[in-house]
Amino acid sequence: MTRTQKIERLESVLARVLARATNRIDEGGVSQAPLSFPSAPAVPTATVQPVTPAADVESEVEWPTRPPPPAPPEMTSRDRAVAASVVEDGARREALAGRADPPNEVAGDPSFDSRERLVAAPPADPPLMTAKASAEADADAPALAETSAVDVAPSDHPYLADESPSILESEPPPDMQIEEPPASSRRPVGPQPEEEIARIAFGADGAEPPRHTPPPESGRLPSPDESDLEPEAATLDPFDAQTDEHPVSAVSSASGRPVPSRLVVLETRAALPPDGDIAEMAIEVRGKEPETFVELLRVSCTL
Amino acid sequence: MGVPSFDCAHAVRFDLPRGTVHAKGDPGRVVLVPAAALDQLLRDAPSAAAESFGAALGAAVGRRVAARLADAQTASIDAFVTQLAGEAAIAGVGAVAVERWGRALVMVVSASPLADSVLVAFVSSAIEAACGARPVCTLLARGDGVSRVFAGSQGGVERIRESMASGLSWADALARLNQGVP
Repeated sequence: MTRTQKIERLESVLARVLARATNRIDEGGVSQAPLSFPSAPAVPTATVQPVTPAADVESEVEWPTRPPPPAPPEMTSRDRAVAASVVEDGARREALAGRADPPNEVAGDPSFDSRERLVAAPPADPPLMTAKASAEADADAPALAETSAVDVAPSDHPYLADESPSILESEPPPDMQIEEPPASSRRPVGPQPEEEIARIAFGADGAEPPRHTPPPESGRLPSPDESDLEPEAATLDPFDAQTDEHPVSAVSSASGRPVPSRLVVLETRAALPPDGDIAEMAIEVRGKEPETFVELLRVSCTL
Repeated sequence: MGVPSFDCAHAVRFDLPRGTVHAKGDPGRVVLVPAAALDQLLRDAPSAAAESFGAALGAAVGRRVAARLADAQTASIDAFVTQLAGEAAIAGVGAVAVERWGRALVMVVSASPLADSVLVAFVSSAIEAACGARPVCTLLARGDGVSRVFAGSQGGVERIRESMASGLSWADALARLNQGVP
């Protein structure tokens, strides 16, 4: 390989590198340029002056006691290279904005893929960038800078403007939908269906299973069966014929054991004769005792 | 209220020069007679004479009892019996006491030398002379020197006699009399 061939090859490599650097600037805005190209055309410094509307927006946001912004630093050669790429990208954007359809560019162009993504990608949220940065990045496109500044305004953002009644009344976006709670925490809040209300008010037709846990078997006294109670009640209840029964509504037991349908009053009465000789009178009931001998004699004479 | 005791001091006054004996409260003379001589007299005398003797003896005792009691009508049983027993003792008739069988009045005379009929007349006359009321008396029993005389009405005395004649004891007769059974 001769020397001239090497130089041409190096120049071709350098051209590709330069093209790639340009593509990076298109995709990420202001980025670092790894290399400075000495043969790049000189960019006038007037094109990178800050846009006054953007400065006004910034002044509205800043505090009144904030010191004035410093003067723009003097641009170095590296900055000039970046600014040149930004200017090229701004000019390209103006061309794209002017045409409705993107041009059918040649396949294999390294910038084609990026531009294709710009067109085909769905509209995303406006980037939250300051007006100063947008002015620095795209000084030749004031319309775009103004759009960015307007998009940054918090009152216009649908999710940052809490005071907007339209936002409150409108339905939230799909990504803000309340997730459905898990099944374990779901509870019916709405009105009960009519069947449920009727069942609570008038009871159910069928027997429901016990809602409470029945007591343990060891803690309950065994209740006698009704068949065991009947003969004893028949023999001990002397008032059955006199309708001295006290019907009591049976209490349903959860265990399902038979419960006597009525309680029988058992009375024990002593059978005493009305005029029996309980005891013999041992002491005669005396009247007024005589105090004098004459009275005693008079009493004795009454016998 | 305490029962006044029998005062036996100067109950009998002996006048030895005159050969007279006088009992306190009685202006009459008193004769000391042996009991055997009296018993012989009464045994030979008719019953009425014997009962009259006994009644006279009792009346004399009763008058002395009344002389000792300020008011025999209001005198208590104990006071009356005390004075009666004292005078009977001085007369030598025996020891007199009172028993109450229910409403029946029974006079108890112990160690009396008098015969049964004479003793009944003595008791009746003594009570009459002392308090003014004459009871009808009948002998209930006599044994071991103790004689019991019922003092009451004529009807009571007849029922007791009927009861005792029917075989009842004198105690049962008195019980029957108190029950009012004829």
